[in-house]
Amino acid sequence: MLSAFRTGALRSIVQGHGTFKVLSVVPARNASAPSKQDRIDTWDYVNSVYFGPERDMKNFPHPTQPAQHEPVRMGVLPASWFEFFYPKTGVTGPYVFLGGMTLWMMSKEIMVVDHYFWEFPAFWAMVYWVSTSPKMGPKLKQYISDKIEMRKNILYERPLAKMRDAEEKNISNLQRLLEECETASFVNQAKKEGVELQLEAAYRQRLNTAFQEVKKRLDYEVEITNVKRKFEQDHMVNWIVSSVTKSITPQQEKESIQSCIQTLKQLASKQTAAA
Amino acid sequence: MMSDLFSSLDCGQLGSISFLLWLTPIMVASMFFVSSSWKAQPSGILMLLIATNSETRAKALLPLPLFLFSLMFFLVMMNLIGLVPFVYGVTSNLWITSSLAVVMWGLLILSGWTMSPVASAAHLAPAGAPAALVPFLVLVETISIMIRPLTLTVRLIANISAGHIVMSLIANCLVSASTTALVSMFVLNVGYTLFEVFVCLIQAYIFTLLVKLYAEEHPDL
Repeated sequence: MLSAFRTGALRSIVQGHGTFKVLSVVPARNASAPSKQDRIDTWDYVNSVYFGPERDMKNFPHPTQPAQHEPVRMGVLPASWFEFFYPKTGVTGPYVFLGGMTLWMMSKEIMVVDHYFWEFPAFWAMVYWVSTSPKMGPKLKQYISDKIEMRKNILYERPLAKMRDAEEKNISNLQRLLEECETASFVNQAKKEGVELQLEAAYRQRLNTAFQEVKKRLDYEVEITNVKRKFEQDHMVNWIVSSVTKSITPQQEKESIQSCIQTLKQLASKQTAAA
Repeated sequence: MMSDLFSSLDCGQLGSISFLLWLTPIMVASMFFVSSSWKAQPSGILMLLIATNSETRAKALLPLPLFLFSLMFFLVMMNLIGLVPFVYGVTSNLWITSSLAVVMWGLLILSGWTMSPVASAAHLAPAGAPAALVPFLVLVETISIMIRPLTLTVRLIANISAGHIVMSLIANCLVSASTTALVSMFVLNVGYTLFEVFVCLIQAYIFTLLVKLYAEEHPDL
């Protein structure tokens, strides 16, 4: 608590530079209820002034609240108060100041040792004990800190994470849907090409069938012609052979055989003569 | 010496150290708007103590948990401020505490009886009670409801002022104690002050819890 005075926050408030400084004058609301848009406009206007370029962020930065208090000594007194004394008075200075102040207050009867006096040392000793005892203060602090973290997690972080996860899932679903929509044109093209291929195949098959049919008919014609010619040839040969056979007389046959025999005899005599 | 046992509860006790009257409240109040760390925010700590998932939420008394939080916050802060030496503990004052109790209790009674008199009256007679006993039960129930603000007030005042009286008595003895007795009694006073811190928290919690319990008897909306 006391360390708050060292942060300068109180001083800046007193001097009118801090949280309560008048930053802008916003028009008062009309008698009629302001519309939603009016409120949004006011909000934006105030924000534009408060966070605008006119604001001296260097000398008067936004007040921030640290997560941990600054280091303290003797339970509650900020260590920086002691350090303030060190360059001027040495390490005993703060204690001398505190003791001297107490003695002065007692001598001037600003602080009186009456029957309530001992409540103050007892209270301070209690605070000192609670805040510095390793068995109490840090454990209590840790316990409260853990509980606050848990509560923050339950109330704030977990729902946010849940919503974020749900939205990411939603986005990925939509992304997939978009991709599917984009691929739809390709699917159509592919289907079209498939149909064209099928048409081409059918056309070629029919072309082939026509070719086969025509070839079959032409082969038939060729075969008929060949058969006819062969038949005629055979017939002519048979006719010529039979005519020749019929025209040979028994006399001619006998003469032919006689001449053959004669030839054979000559050949045989030539053979024996050569041997 | 003290003029009487209860003079520690007088507002005018401070006499020559009256500067603490205005200095201490300023220091305590500064804790709220220039608190040096958010982890030490009293509100964060108090959030742990009061259960906001009350059954009263089901009864459409929706702002009640938040209100109970504020009530407990107020009581804890008043109790703890009263514990600071030389500061008058306002929760040991009859008028402040009874005002709180009567308002909390009265609003709930008024709300319940205005909204649904039949259901509220039905609460006076427990279901299944023998008919002969009903008048008696209604009487008992009525008395138990009527003394609620009184018990709320007395409980808080008694606990807070008893602690203050005991601490004052020990401090009173310490002024004239010998060195040996001083050490042991000082340790006793330190321990008792620590105990009083817990009493302050617990009494605020009990006060709030009882208001919550009374609200749960509110007829269904």
